[in-house]
Amino acid sequence: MSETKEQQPAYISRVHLKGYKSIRDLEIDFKAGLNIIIGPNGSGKTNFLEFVSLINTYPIYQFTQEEFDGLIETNNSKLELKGQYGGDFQYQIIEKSFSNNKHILTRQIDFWNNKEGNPIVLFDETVGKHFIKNGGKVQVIQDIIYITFGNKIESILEKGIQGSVILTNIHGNGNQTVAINSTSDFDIFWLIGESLQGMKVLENDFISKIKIKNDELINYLKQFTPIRDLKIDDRSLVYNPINNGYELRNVNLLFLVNKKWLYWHQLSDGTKRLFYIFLKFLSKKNNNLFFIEEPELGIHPDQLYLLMDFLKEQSKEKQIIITTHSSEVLNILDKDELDRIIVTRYDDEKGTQMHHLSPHKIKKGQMYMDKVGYLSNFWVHSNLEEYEAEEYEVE
Amino acid sequence: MKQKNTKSNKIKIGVVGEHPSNDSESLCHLLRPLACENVQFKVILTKLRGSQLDNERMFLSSLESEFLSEELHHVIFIRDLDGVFSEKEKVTIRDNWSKRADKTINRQGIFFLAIAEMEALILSDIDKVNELYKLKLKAINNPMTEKDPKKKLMQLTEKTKRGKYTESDAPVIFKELVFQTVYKNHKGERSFQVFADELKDKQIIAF
Repeated sequence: MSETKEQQPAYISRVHLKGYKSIRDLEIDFKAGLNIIIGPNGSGKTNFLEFVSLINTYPIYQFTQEEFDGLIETNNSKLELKGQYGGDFQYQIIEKSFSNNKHILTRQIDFWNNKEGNPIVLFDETVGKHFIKNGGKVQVIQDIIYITFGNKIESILEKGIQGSVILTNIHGNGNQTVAINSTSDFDIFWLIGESLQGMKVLENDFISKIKIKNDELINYLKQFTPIRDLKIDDRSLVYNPINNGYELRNVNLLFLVNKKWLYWHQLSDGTKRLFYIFLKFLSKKNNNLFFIEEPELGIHPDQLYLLMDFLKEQSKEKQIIITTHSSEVLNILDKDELDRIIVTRYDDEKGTQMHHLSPHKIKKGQMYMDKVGYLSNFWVHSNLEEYEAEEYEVE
Repeated sequence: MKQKNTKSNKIKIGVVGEHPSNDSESLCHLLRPLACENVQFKVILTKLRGSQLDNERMFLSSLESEFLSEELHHVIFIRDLDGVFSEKEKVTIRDNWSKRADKTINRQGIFFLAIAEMEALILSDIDKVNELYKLKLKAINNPMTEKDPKKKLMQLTEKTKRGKYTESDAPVIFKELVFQTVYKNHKGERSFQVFADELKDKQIIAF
């Protein structure tokens, strides 16, 4: 393999999926960088994203069939998911293997659902950590205090981190990092961990030091969203003289919008979505793969335009797979990029199917861009999504 | 997947109307059974509506893109007059529009000006209306002269078991219409009869 090829980030090049909701047998190729999936409601776009996103996340959806099988090829590796129901487990990933230039992982993960119906990871031998079902728990590993919660980022933003944790070890040598993470998402860990890393902790100004100090995130938020600043709710951390420690409870993020500090639930849907997208990109810088479902929801056209510019820029180094119903999103593509469009349709016999634009459709799209002005004119006024079955034959 | 050569000897006829899923599709249903060999009718610009057809900058460039990329031989334009034939100014506006559209596609346009809406064609086959709606209506003498055929059809069918006629019923009804009957009854200047004769002369349909 040449040096240039080795440096190319991993991306999904081909997917073959079976047995998940509307997906019966589906094969499709992807390109490095930006891929845009379009198609009518109910054609299976969301099901597709859910299934493929099992690569990097724990499955949180139940499968509709007793067995499922997914093969995902990247430009330099293969990932296979095979699963079945069994015993007390809701489902089990029997094999999960992924390789890229840096590492190869093979692991077995068992899942079951707790009483609330949320999936719980019982044991993950790769990560090598136990996670707990509910509430918080402090683990001291070297100089790092980990607080783990069974919450996802969505729930943390919505409700705050509920429950309380006593921190008794923060007066030590002053070089500790306080980190809060959740079992399936490390965004909060990143937000707070950044702010306290290497900080000498002093009793009287500890609370004031707990704030978001990541300039990069703040800059992006200022540029692309109405959010001007972030902080942790001051009331989250309380000094407890009994054990000479701090009690961290009901942690909430606050957002400065229109010169007012607002809770998550006070933000508009569009602002929440924008924040979430930028948080994901910045907190997971090492991730090569991002899935975004309908980024346009609740977002003003001007900000959507800026967001798509940002995503296109990011797609130079990452693979980004987007589903959309927005013509504005499609208009981000240049004339030589129309092969990045994937159309989803539902076939009564085959279930969810996907296809790229035929050469004829690509030519027609380019003509629309030349003569009418926008690719979206082709989508909105003509037959961009129509499947031209006669143009294809299976080899 | 492997690409196949899509070149064919098909004669493609595009159809553009005020309401693609109703007007244009309806006309296709009426013409398809009479199509000459290799002739295919296809509704194009499927999501444009009447007022957007009048946005000429956008419409004409879209039309040109469709004409070239789909390799169409002819394009049929269907426009409502929204008036009566004596309103010459309205007729002139529509005619001028069709001339500009025709010029965009190398004079391969065929214009059908539905003087009194497409529903006049349905009223041209009153036997079929009676059959579908279980009515006993008498034939209407030249439905082209009806001022508001849509309203008339709605009134006539209001109390039927099938339910009052709506615009979205048009494609289903047009499938049932007898071409020869419509041809015979929708006559005169700018009529369906004249339009069908033009299609026949151009060897698009045969009857």
